[in-house]
Amino acid sequence: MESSWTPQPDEAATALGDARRSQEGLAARLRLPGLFFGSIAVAVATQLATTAVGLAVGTTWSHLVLAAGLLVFCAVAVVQLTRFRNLNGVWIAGLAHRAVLGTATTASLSYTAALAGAVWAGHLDLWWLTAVCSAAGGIGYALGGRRWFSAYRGDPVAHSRAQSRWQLLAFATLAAAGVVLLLAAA
Amino acid sequence: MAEFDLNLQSLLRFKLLSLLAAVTELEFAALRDELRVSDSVLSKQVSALAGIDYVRSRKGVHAGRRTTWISLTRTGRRALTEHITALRDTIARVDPHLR
Repeated sequence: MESSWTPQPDEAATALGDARRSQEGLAARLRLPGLFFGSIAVAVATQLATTAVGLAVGTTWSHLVLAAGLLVFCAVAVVQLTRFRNLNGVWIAGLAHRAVLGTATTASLSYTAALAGAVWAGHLDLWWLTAVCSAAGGIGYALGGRRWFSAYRGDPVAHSRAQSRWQLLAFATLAAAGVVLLLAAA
Repeated sequence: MAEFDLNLQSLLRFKLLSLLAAVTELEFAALRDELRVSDSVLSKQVSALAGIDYVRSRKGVHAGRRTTWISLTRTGRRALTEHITALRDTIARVDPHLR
């Protein structure tokens, strides 16, 4: 709506400064539920290890293990995001997508590298190495999430928004292609 | 050149929309506490902004009790962005370094 109202420069500076301070204050006051990133790290490590077992062993029970790992990750993600929402009275799509679903660059790269390493080690029956890769992937994933949260606190407006449907579709397509490649290699 | 939005002339409304731009959805009581206003003042502002499609409100549950969740609409985000640009332009005319 156009108006004839024009604030003075000092009024404009005050309004902008006040708005920025309130955004930064809100972001600074947000609290993460206990063991937020720790539980995400464990859930991702579990999911990576069970996926490696499922793809490397290739029997019915191993596929059930793979499905159980996915369920564990989904359960932890839902519980922690619900706790965050209840604790703060705030929902941030960026947190769900980038920190928990791992679409942040560090998280997705850690996950991809760890999954490839864990499955490869599983095929060679080097299960200790599968465990190491899974743990490293979980830690990298959680650190990526923590990094996103720090960036959000520094600039909430730039980081609060969800990924677009097209970006999510691209991630899902890449993930599906990766699984198909791993299955083909097996 | 960006234009000022008469609907955001009130500092309270401008701050309300700025807070909503920093999140996806904010619970009524959390927004009230951030703005340090009463329930009735916030309710009135939210209704006015919802009437011009700047914010959206929906009933939901928070920590086991019924409450209202408020979010910024696409129209609201566009209006806020343009208003901020107009404010920055005003400052820049006096001191380009402050933009």
